[in-house]
Amino acid sequence: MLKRSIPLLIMVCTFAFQRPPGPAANSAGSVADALATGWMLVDTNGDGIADFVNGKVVVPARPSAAENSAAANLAARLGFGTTGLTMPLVINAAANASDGPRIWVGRDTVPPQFAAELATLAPKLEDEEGGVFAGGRQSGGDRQR
Amino acid sequence: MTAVSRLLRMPIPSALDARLYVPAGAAGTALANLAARMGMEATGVTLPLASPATDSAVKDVRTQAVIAGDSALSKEADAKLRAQDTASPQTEPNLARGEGEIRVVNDSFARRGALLARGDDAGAAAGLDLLSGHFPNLWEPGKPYLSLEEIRYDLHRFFSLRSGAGQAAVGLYHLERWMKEIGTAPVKNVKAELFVDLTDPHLTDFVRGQIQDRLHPEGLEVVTNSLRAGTKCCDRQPGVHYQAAEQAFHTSTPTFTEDLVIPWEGTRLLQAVQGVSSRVRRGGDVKLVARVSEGPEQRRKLQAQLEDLPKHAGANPQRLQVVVLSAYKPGYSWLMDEIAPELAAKPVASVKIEFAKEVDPTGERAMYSPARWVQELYPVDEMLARKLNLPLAKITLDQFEPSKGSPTYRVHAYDAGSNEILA
Repeated sequence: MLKRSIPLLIMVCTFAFQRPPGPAANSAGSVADALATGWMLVDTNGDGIADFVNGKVVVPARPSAAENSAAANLAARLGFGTTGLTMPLVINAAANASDGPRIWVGRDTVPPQFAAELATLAPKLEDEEGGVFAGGRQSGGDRQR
Repeated sequence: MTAVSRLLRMPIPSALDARLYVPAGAAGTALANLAARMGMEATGVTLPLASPATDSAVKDVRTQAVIAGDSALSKEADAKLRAQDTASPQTEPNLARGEGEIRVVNDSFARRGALLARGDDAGAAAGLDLLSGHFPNLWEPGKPYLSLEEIRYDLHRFFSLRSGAGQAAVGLYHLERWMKEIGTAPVKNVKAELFVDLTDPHLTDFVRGQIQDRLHPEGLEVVTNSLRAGTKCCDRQPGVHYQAAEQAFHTSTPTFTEDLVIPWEGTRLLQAVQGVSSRVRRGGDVKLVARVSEGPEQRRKLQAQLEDLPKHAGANPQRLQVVVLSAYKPGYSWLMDEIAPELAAKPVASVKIEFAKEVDPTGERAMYSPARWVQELYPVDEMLARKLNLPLAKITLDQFEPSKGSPTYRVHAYDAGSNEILA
């Protein structure tokens, strides 16, 4: 799926510009934690089961089929991990309000605050290679051809 | 077609039986939101659920498909749809700009069905957003809000003539046909009656207007009414009035009325005793045991009235015994109202109550307990202990095997020397 002429790049943002008024979100310490309860998936009633998605998946203003497809698979996984969901979960970067955790799909979606951080990692990708990066408090990344 | 599948007899979808073929643009983003909804609805999901529509060929489709955008897959599904639904090109207008629709295409890819989002990018996205964010509700999601199933059921009731609206529509259809047959011939003294399950308050005026406009009759009477139970019943029975927001209750002449007077059981008891009082021998013994479904105070009043009847008939007041027990808990009432007063004046040290074991000779009763008769006594041991000023341990309960003709309860009272003192 990542076999594109332009590398598909996903950035997991540990916090956005301001905290939402809803449930507090813990930091996604690494890419591996992004789908665990506590960051984007939140247990709001303390029963041990995530019941709220406290964030959005952001696609570019003009998303390609590959970017939409990647967002769809992320969204399916997030939906699978929760018992409650407020639509839309996947939003366009042009309509993005910065009110919670974000998973940015595509290099163009990443806001300037994190672009500099990403700029040091993205050039390391080779042709037809994509990567998933955690931005914000702690950076790291996994990449895949 | 369903995109989520469930195991046999399991009410919860355990897997997804579909793949999303995602285009670029807003429609593709809307499909991504549908993927979130599908993931949430199932307890199992196999990834990837979605793949770019541009990368997929028709031969690659091996599950049910959800398709949007302009791709080989959507063209294939669209062609199948047009082949299956030959009427819609003539009956349905083309989708306008920004307008979309979701169509189910049966056997779209071999025997596999597809959901096809049609329209331009914004229109297809709007259709998919409706599907992922609102269905199965019409708009607000959640059980309290209007669902598509309710709309389907309303339509079913309409077309199967189970709703007042459907019945009225058929009535108006026939009226239309009859008026066509009459044509322009002058008519007079027209009477139209239309009865439906629940009539609309404006139906009479509507029917009158239809006839008036078409026939211009000389003399017109229109009657419409409801047939639903509770819509016409009498003022005296508000409990049976049909209540609905759109249907106000109105009185009408009842079809029939009948007054039933059920005499009070106390009156019937007094009349029955009065009826046999003439057979009391002067100076003779009288023992009367009655059971009524009244409380202690009413039973005491009845007892006083019942005692007067044999006395006036000549019974010996010294040898007259009248007991009025509770019919609801006869065993408890017997012990508390008849036995306890008798023991109150005696040096009682202990009491043993024996109860018959309940037996089901048929062996077929669903509700059955061998301890039924002791359960009926509850809480007689505590009440007797309090009334006779005895420790609770001195009131014992024992079960006995009943024989033919044996009583349900037996009671024994003993003094401190274990001598039985209840004759």
